[in-house]
Amino acid sequence: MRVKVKFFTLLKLYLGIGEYELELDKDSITLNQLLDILEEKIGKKFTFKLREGGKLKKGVIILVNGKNVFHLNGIDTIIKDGDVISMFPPGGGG
Amino acid sequence: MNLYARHIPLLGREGIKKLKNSSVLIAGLGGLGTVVADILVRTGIGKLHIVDHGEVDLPDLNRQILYFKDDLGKKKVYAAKQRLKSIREDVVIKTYADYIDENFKFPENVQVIVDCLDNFRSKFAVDEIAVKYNIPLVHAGLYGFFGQITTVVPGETPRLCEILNGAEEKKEVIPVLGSVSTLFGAIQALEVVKLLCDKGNTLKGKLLIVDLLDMSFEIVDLK
Repeated sequence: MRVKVKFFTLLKLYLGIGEYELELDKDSITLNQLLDILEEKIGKKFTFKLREGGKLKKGVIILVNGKNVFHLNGIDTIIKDGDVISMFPPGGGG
Repeated sequence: MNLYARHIPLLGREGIKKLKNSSVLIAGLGGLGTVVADILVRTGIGKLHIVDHGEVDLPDLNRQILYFKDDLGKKKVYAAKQRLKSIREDVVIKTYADYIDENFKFPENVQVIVDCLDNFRSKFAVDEIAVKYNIPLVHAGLYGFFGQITTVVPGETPRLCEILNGAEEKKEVIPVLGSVSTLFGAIQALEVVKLLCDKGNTLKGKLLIVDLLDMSFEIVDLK
């Protein structure tokens, strides 16, 4: 499977990369597993901003193919070949 | 010379007439809302409902383009109305020096709501109102050099509370430059004009994520 992960705004600034393509010898993984793999591949701790105690934290929006994972299966959302994952902390100011 | 002479090639006389007959509610009159209101009045909107409970404060003058030193301490809606009427005497401005929440008495015949609020709780409250009255909502939210814009159409696109489920208020004062809020407000105002005049493609069902530090504009198709 091949997936594309896009980091936006403050997350992009923190990581220093905007996009990461991942090729894995699997048919599917969970979002939680994807976060583990990404952290290892990128080589910088960042998932503490996204999850805590096995659950997603508030503050960063994660969209899988344009749908918020809170409306899929949260941290257990299944990620499969061709998926595009977008992550960003939204702005609340006006 | 007609005020709208330079709009005619873009919007046509029909578009100008549509704007003249339209009514828009702007929720929040800060960095975004003042820009949206200014542009819509100059573009020929017929009626604006402007909602904000606050008063003009010194740090507002870095970006909130309808206010000046003489306005410090005044209710924003009244200071804004005075400025907007000085641009165009014939525009109808209805003021609400109030919070927008479930108790807000929503006016009739509003075609578009513009979310220019400065916190997620209020943004989700206005999302509820948009769904209740079945009115398109043009959302923007910013933080520093960054932010996002989308247009929610009830029954047609995901709701704001679905798109931004998991959003959390930051504890500190939100940093912002005038260039950033002005750009976001200008895009929101254009979105309103395009919706009302049925012109081109809007951000319906699309999330525009803007990074002005990197000067990148990316669109995510929402589902």
